[in-house]
Amino acid sequence: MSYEEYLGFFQEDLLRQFGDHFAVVLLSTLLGTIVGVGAGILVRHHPGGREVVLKIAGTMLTVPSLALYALLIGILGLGWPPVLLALTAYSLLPIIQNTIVGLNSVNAAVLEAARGIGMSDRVRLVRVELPLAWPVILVGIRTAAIILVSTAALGAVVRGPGLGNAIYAGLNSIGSSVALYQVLTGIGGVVVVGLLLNALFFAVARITIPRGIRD
Amino acid sequence: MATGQADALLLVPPGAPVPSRVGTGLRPGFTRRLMTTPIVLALLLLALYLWVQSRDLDIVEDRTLTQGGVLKALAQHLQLVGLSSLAVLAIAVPLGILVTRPSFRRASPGTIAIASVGQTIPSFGVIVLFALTLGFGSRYVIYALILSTILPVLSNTIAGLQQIEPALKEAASGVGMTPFQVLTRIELPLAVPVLLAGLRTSIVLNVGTATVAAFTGAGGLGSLIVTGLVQNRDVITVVGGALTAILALALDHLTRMTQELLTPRGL
Amino acid sequence: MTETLIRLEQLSKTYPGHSVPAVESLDLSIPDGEIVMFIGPSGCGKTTTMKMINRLIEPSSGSIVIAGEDVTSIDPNELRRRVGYVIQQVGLFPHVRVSGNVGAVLRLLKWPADKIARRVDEMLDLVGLDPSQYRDSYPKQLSGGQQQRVGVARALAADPPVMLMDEPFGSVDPITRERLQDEFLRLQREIRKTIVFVTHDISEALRMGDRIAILGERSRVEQYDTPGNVVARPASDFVANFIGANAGLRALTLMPIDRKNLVPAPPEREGTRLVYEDDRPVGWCLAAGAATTRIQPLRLSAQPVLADALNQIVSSQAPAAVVVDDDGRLLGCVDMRAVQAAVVGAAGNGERSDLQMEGASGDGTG
Repeated sequence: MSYEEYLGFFQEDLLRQFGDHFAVVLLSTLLGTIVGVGAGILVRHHPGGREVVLKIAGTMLTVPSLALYALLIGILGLGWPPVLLALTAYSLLPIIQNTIVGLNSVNAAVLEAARGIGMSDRVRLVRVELPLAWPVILVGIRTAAIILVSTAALGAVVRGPGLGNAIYAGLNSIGSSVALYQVLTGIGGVVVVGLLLNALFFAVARITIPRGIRD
Repeated sequence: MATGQADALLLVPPGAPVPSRVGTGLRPGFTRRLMTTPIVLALLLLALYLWVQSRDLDIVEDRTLTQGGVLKALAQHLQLVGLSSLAVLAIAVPLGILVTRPSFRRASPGTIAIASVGQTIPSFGVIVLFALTLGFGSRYVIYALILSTILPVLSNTIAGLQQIEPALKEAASGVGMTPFQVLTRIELPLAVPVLLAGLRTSIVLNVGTATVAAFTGAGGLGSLIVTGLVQNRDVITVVGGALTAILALALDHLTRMTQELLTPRGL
Repeated sequence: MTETLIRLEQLSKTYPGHSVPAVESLDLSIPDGEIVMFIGPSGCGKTTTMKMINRLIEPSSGSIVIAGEDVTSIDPNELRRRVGYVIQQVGLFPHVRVSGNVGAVLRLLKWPADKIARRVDEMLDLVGLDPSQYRDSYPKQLSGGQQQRVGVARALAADPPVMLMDEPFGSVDPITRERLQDEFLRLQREIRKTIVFVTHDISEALRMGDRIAILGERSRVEQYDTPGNVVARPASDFVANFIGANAGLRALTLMPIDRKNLVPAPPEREGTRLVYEDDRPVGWCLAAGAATTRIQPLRLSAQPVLADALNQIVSSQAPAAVVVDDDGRLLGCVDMRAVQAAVVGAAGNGERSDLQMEGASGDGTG
C-alpha cells in the first residue's frame, strides 16, 4: 500500500486522533492554568508556601508519564481521565513558577502608585499586577503546553486519546505494510500539533498583550 | 563572583597551576537536603512492600512480583538509563562546546528553531520507530534513548557556556592561558551547574522514556506496567508505576546533590 | 490668616524591631492652598511623614486631621482616592494608555465613561499636553518630563483638596526640571491646591514653597517658615548649614524687582552709555568706539527677581540691569547699589513682598 492509500484508508481515525490530541493538550493546559495561576497568586508573598508548592509541582513532573498513568488507572480507570489528570499535573510547575516570578517582578513604582491612588489589594491584583505579569505567565503556559504535546503520546498505552494511538497501532501491527506509516504519521502529527500550538500562543500573545508592554 | 575570579587570575604567573574551582560544595543545610529525599523514598518503598504483602496475590501476580523478577527489571532499567545517559554526556558536551566556539557563531538561529521542533517529537514514537526500522532489543532502544534525551544536555551546555562573561575569558587568555586551558579551567567549571541541571532533566526524561523499552523487548520496569495492563492486574501496574516513579525521584535527587557538590562556591 | 487644612498631631512612626522612632511626635499645620516643602537630610523621615498623611505608611501613634475630619482610622483606600499622590519614578501603568492612567482614580470612583473622558482631556490640557495627540499614547512612548506631567494629571483628576508630591521632578534633567517647576507654579496659581512637597534640593524648596519645613533627625521641625525667613533668619545652626553658604545669593532669587528698586538710566560716563534703537534700550556701549554689547532687558510683567538683575549685570559687564515694559520701553535700571541694599535689607527683613503674614512667628502651629 502506498502512503496516499494509507492516508485515505485511515483518514477518519487519524483526523479524530489529531483532534483528540489537540483537545487533551488544550484542556489540560487550561485546567493547569486555572490551578497553577491560582496557586501562584496565593503563595507569591509567602516563601514557605512557595517552596512547598514548587516542590510538589516539581515532584509531579519528575514522575515518568507511563508511571503516572499507571498509578492513576487504579483510581480513574482507563481512557481520558488518567491522561487528563496526569497532563494537568505536569503542566503545573512551569505555570506556577512563571506566575510567581511574573507577579513578583512588577515594577515597584507602579505598585506604589496603584496603592497611592487608592486601589485595594484585590483591585490592584486584577487591574495592575496580573496584566503586567501576563506576558511572563503566558510563556509559562506555553512551555507547559509544549511539554504536554509529546507526553500525551504515551497515553495511548492506557487507551487515552491522541496520535499516540497511531504509534501504538504501528507497534502492534509489526510486519504489516502500514506499520511504519502509522508510526511516522503519529510522530509527524504530534509535531504538527506542536507547531499549531506555537502559532496559537503567538496569536494569543498578540491579542492579549497591550502594545504598551510589548517588547 | 566574576570579578573575584578574574582578580585571582591576575595574580598568578603564566604556567603556574590554577585551581579550577574556588572551593566547591557544602553549603549550610546540606546534610538535611541530602538525607530527606532518600528517607522519604525508603519509606515509600517500605509502604509499597507492605501493601503488596497485605494483598492476596493470585498466580499471575505472584509469579510476576517475585523479588528476582522485580530486581531484574530494575537492573535492566538502570542499564538502559545508565548507558544512554553516559552516551548523551559523551556526545552532547563536546558538541555543545564545539557549537559555542567563535568559529561556529553563525549556527545560532537555525539551532533554536530545530530545538523547538525537536522538543515536541514524542519519545514513544522514536523508540517504536527504531524498533520497526532497526530491530528489537536493548541496543536500538539505547540509540533511541540517546536521541530522545540529548536535547536538554545539549541546550544547557550551550547556554551554560554562553552565559560566561567574555571579560573573564579575556582575562584568562591575557594571563597566558591557552584556549584549551581557558576551556577546562574557566569555562567548563562555570558551566557545570547549568550543565548538570540539563543532565538532571535528561536523566528523568530517560527513566520515563525507558519504560517504553518494555514494548520492544528490552525489559525494564516498564515491563511490569505493561504486564499489569495486558493482564488487567492493577497490583502489578501499580508496583511497576511506583517503582519507576521512585527510581526517577532517586536519580533526580542524586544528580541534584552532585550538582550542588560540583558548583563552585562563589556561584 | 489662611485656614489650616491639614493638621498633624503628635504623629509618630516606629518601625518594628527598631528602638529609635523614624518620626517622633510631629506637630505641624499645613495651611489651605499653600505649598509646604518638607526638606531635610537623608533619613530624617520627610518621606515617611508625607506617606503617613495618606497612610501608605500607618502611623504608630498620633493623628491626622484633614479639613476637620480625623482620617487616622478611616478606610485607607477611601482616603487615598481623595489625596493626589505623585512620586519621583512616576509609576504610570505601562499597560494602559495615557487616558487610562489619568482616569484611573475616576474609574475607582465609578464615574460614568463619558464624564471620565471629558475630565481626562481637561486634565491633559491643564498640564500642557495636547489631548488629541497624547490621550491614546502609551507611557513608554513619552519622555520623562511628559510622563511626569501625566502623573500630575492623574493626581489632579479627581480634584482632591490635598496633593502629596515626593521629589516629583527629581528624575528629569535640570532644564526640564526648571520648566516643570515653572509650569507647576503657574498651575498652582490657578488651582490653589494644598500641597505637601518633599525635596532634598534647597533651591527647589526656596523656589516652590510658600512655606518650608526643615526637618532634622526623627523629623524634628528645625524651622517652619517662609523661604525668606528661613534664609534671612535661620532658627539654628542646623538650618543655616542646611541652607548653605550662598544664603545671600539665594535670598536674591526670592526678591522680585519692584518699581521702587528702579533708578533712572545712568548718564554716560567714560564712554559707557545705554544704547537705544527705536526709543528702546537694546544694549550697552562699554567704551568709546566699542561695538554695542546687546542685552535682553528684563520685562517687569514677567516678574523678574533681583538675581536676574545681578545675572545681567555680571554677564554684560554693564553698570546696571535694564528693566522695560511690555512695549520694550525703558522703565528704569537696577544697579549694584540697589542689589546690595536688598541683600543687606534681607538680613533684617526677609519677607516676600507678595505674602501677607500677620504675626508670622515662624513655627507655623495654629
